[in-house]
Amino acid sequence: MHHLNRAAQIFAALAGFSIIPGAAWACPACMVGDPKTAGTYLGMTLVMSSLPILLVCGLGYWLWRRYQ
Amino acid sequence: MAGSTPNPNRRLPNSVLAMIIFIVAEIMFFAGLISAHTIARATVLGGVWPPVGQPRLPVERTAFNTAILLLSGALLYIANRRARESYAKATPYLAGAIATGIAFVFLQGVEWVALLREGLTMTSGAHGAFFYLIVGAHALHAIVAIAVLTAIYFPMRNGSLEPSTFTAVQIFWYFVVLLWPIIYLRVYL
Repeated sequence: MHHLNRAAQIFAALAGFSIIPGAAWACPACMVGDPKTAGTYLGMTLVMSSLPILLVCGLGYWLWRRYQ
Repeated sequence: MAGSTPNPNRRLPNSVLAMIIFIVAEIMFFAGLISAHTIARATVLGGVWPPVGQPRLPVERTAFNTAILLLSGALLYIANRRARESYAKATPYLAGAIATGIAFVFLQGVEWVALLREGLTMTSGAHGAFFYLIVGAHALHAIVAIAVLTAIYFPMRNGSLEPSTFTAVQIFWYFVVLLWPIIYLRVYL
């Protein structure tokens, strides 16, 4: 029973944390200016975040296929 | 377990793998520069780029220069195809790729001199700073690539060039060639 209460407390704490990012926004500049500027920030954030993953995964997949 | 034995013919030479990993890092380097330029362009006061009072970039002349660089890439591709028959048949095309590459760098230099005379410098504003940083970084890569192409020209003419070295150098030059239209579209237009 004690363990159950502990789990419920952890769950409640995590649920509480989950609503914070929506209010805070990790990127303070992404919501400023006109929609075009905000769109540019968002687009560049997506490009710069996804490009290294795509490049490394693409290279890894190509090498894996090559050595099959 | 004969099926699990790697085919030695498909083994990737170390020089080629190293060049591919290097190019991946270079793509991230230029992506960072172009991303910063895109954001600076989107957030400029008044929404006009180049900013008011800054010189305009020579779009038409650079389009011609872009065509020269693409021609250089095409010539190197033909050199690669000819090299499958013999290096002797590939050598003139490699020389053509080097010559057109030099022409590209030379015309870029002429363009820079004209822009400097018009007042566009590294310290004249974000427009000049981004232009010289991005285009200069590309020009530096082009100069190094031309030097490497020239370095493999003589071993190719003598027939002593390692095929893997030729492949690695080609990858570098194709990167320089294919990167340029992206820079042209983002920086000049």
